[in-house]
Amino acid sequence: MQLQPDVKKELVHIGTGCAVGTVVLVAGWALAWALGAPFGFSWKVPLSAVLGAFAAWLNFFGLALTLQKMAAGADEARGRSLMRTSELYRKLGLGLFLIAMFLIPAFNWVAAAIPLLFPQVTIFVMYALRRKPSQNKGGET
Amino acid sequence: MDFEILAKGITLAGCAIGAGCALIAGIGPGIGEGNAVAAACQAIGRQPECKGDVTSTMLLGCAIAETTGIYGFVTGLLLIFVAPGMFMNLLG
Repeated sequence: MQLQPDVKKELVHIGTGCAVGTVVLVAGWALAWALGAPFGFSWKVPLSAVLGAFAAWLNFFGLALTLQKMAAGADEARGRSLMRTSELYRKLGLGLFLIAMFLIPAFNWVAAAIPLLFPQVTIFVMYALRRKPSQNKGGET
Repeated sequence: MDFEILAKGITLAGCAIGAGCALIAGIGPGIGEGNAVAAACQAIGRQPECKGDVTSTMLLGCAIAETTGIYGFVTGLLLIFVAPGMFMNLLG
C-alpha cells in the first residue's frame, strides 16, 4: 500500500519526535543518575528506550495505515469496525511489548514505557509550534 | 498470622480489581476513535478533495485520543506486575 504524502509527513514528524524524545530521556536519565538519583543507569536503559520509541512509532504507523485504508474506502460502518479492530490489535501488541519488558530482565520497563507517550508529546509540541499567525488563515465569515 | 494472610489476600485482590478497572480505560478511546473515523468518512464522502487534510488531522487526533488508553494500560500492568510485590514487601 502506497502511503499518502500527508500521512508520510506525519510519520516522519512522529519518528523525529520519538528519536529526539529518546535522546532526551536517556540523557536525562544518565544525568539524574550521575547526580545521585536512586535508580541505576546501564545499557538496559538506552536499549529499552529505543525499543519503546520504536514500539510507539509502530503503533502510530499502524494507526496511520488504518486511517489511510479507511479514507480510501470512505464507508462509515466499515471504517468504524476497521478502526476498532485495528485499535484492539495495536493495544494487544503494546500490551505484549510491555509485558515482555516487565518479564525479561535484560530490559528496563520504565525506560520502555515512557517512550510510548512520545508520539502524543510530539503532537502537542507540533500543535504548539504550528499555532502561529500564519496558521490562522482567517476563515470565511 | 491469619491476619497477615488475609491482608495479603486483600492486597492481591485489590491489585487485580484495580488492574481490571484501569483497563476499562481502553474501551473509551476505541469507541471515540470509531466515532471520529465514522465522521471523517462522512466528511470525505461529502468533500473528497479534502481527503488529505481530513486524514492528517484525524491521524493526529486519534493518536491523542489513544493517550488515555495507554495510561490505563500502563497503570493496569503496574498493578499486576509491580504493585503486588511492593505491597507484599511492606506487609513482610
